[in-house]
Amino acid sequence: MRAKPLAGSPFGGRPTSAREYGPGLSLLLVAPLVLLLVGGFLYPVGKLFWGSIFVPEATFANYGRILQEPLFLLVLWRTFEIAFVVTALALLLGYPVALAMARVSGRTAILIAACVLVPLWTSVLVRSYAWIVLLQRNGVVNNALIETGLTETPLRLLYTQGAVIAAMTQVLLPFMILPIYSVVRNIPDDLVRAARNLGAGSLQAFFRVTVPLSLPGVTAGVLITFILSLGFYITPALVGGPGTLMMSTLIGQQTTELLDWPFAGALAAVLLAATLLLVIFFRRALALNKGFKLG
Amino acid sequence: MGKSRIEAAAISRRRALGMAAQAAAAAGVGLTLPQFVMAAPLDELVERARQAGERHVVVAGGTGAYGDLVKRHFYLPFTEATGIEVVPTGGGYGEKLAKLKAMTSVGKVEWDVITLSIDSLTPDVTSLLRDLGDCAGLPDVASQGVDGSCLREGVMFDIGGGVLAFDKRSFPEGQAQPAGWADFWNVKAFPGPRALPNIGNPWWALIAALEADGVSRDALFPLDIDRAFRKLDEIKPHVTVWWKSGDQSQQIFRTREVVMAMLFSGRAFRLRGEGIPLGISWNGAPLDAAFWAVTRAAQHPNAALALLDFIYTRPKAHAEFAAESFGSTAQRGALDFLPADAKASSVLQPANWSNIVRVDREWLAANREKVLQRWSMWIAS
Repeated sequence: MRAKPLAGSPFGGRPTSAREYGPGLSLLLVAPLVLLLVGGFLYPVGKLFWGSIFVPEATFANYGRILQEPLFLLVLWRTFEIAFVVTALALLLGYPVALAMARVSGRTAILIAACVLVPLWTSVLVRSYAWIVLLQRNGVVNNALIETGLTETPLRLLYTQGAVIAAMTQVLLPFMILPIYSVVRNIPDDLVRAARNLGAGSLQAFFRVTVPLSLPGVTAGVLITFILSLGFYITPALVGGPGTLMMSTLIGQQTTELLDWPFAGALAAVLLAATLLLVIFFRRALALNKGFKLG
Repeated sequence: MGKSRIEAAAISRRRALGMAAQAAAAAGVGLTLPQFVMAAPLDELVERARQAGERHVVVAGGTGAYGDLVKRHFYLPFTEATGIEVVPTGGGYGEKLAKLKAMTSVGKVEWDVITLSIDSLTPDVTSLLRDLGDCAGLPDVASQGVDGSCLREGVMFDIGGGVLAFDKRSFPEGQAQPAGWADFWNVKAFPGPRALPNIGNPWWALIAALEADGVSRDALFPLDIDRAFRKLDEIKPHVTVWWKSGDQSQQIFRTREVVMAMLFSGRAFRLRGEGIPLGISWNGAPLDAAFWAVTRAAQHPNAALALLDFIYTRPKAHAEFAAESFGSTAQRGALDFLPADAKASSVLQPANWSNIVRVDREWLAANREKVLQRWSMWIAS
């Protein structure tokens, strides 16, 4: 893919690097990554998909099974549902934080950055266990609720869909905040000031200047968060119950417990295909949106 | 099936270290194994092995801390008493079964005795094992074992099951306490969150559901699957944890996440050992057992038979083994040597053993796939 400037960026124009490096040198620069991807990703994934159709003999039976057994479609649907809710929540919570990070400076900026980054550096396993400690029947949340008299008997919080969504949102929040922050940071204050000068209220300036210009960051954040949630494994397994079974857990069961690799391959292929379709749709939708706003 | 294996085989590493320390302490104070009187029929078996020149017997048993316990309480005393050396080898149930099949197919079976889960006694497996008939050749099994110890292709060793365990902090002594699966379903009289296993043996939950629905114990099989799932629908909102591992099933009682659950009996006794006040009911508990069998092409069949008979003698050793493994063996006499507090809830108690439910192996073989599929759909939706 050719390097493209960020669409909608106020600093448009062809990056200078494209002029400095010829095609040969460019290839050499990306060669290590390409090799890694081919050997560590394309080959094994291709082999898995190949196996889903041609092992032990050429058949689409594995794909037929996905359509026939309601369990698999149910889990596929639920996976997308959870991923969608998590992405929406992360956007809602993350956007203001990204904005604040870009606007403030000094000690406050460091504090916010630490709040975003320290969880990112902490193991997902640890953070998922932390949620268990919070949400269990005699956990922090339930004890607080009982002490304040809001409830008399402990509520059922752990092993529910709500627990999975809360924990996944928290784990994935940095992946939403950081891309938005990196774009918002580069929006010149002058643009907002100019809008205000021309008579826009602060809300109007926000929605008609800041939001459209931040869309590339939003797109990136939404895509990363959504794709990561589709494949999430540890957190749903720890804080969820069988009623929150997600696609990756199902694929894991097929590979490690039932040793049915061809069927696992078929499930993975369906998940990947559905993901790709949705990503293409996302990009189209958001690009269209941008066209309207920026004219 | 590895999933429903006897839990005693999975003693944790920490526990193993503790046991090693205990063993060292015991050795330090000069504790010796009690001398025992050998039954005459066993002498006969040993004599036959001697005449056939069988100097050792190869046993594919358990490994790890559990294997060490078996070795200390059974293999070593056997060698001491008979002069026949035990050569231990081992692995998981599935692994051992695969190896035995492979060895049989090439015509050279190195193992004389193999230990397996009772669930694995399907026709393809029984053909690899020596037919013991009604165990008439192993008199101690009939005289010392619990009812049904003789499985025709083997003899029971570890016995346990899916007991109803409840937290006495929620249902204290002197008040009504759950006593069977009907009480597990009775959320009015016994309120609180519950747990059931989700470990690939859904017929355990189906048995409990049918018991709760009033099906008499001798009419359970063939299981009425539709009726069982309808009954399970009732309790589903109150089951907050579907445990996936033995460790998890213990943890939910430590954190008081649930007030009652179906647990492996070994796990329930371990929790008691930690000081968590659990009530245990064997009423309608599905049986989980491991058995010892002689391979059909064994090279030391007489020595192997002697060992199978030997493990039904010496009740005191069984009681010690039970205390250390948190399990139980099928040796009836061990009950007399158990500590008073362990006696009442021991599976060896005739009232408990007679209340246990045995899974119909033929029904299971014919319905396993169907039930598993329906369960996975039911539990995920």
